[in-house]
Amino acid sequence: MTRDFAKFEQLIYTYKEPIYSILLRMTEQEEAVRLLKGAFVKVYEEMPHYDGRMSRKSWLYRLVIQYWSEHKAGHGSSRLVKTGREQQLECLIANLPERSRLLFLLRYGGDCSYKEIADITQMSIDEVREKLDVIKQQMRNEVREARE
Amino acid sequence: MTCPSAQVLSQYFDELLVGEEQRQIMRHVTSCAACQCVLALYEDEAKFIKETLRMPSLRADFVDEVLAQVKSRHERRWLKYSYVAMLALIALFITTLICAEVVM
Repeated sequence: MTRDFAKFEQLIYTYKEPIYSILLRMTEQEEAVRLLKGAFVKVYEEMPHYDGRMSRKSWLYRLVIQYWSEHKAGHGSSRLVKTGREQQLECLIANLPERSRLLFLLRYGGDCSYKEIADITQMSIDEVREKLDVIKQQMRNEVREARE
Repeated sequence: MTCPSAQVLSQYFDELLVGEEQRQIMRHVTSCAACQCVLALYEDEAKFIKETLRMPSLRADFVDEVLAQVKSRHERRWLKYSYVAMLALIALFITTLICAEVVM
């Protein structure tokens, strides 16, 4: 992939929102925007080095996650003002350990397949599936316990 | 076949099962209204999670800001290359002049 400006613009439009939804829950809101901007600049710089070994989406997400991991200032997540079930879900996500939160967000915020998550995080597909299953069961249990 | 547990149905919904186990549940589910109801709940749950995560969205000027940043870096890089090329040309010109004087 050459450093093509039009192609880059297309990548931003396609992936900015799903990636923002992930970063927003991995760090503070202002920080998420700053990191996303920096990560996209990095993506532009790295475009000539894309070798097609993984999908373009996995490659891009991997670069962004690497950038976040190297440049993040803290471990918190954004305080999002929501109500009812949505607020409950945001709390459950915010309380997940960082690694589990990332996997969950890649799946549901980033709309990634198990294979894509495995490529991005360098885990095996089976590990990704098992881990996501455990995370979901834990979250459902917490919702059940809160109701009782 | 008796109805699988909610956990197994969840794994079926998330495509975590393989082979015969997956096929057995698929056959059962097509004729079991109760299991179809549970799967519909999982579908709603996944949809709800995805919709919740979509908000809030990025501010409108985000793309313009990134493109401006990339363009300015691009231009700065070209300016640097042009500067280096110009210096190389000047050095070459001076060297040629010196060589010509030495020969004369």
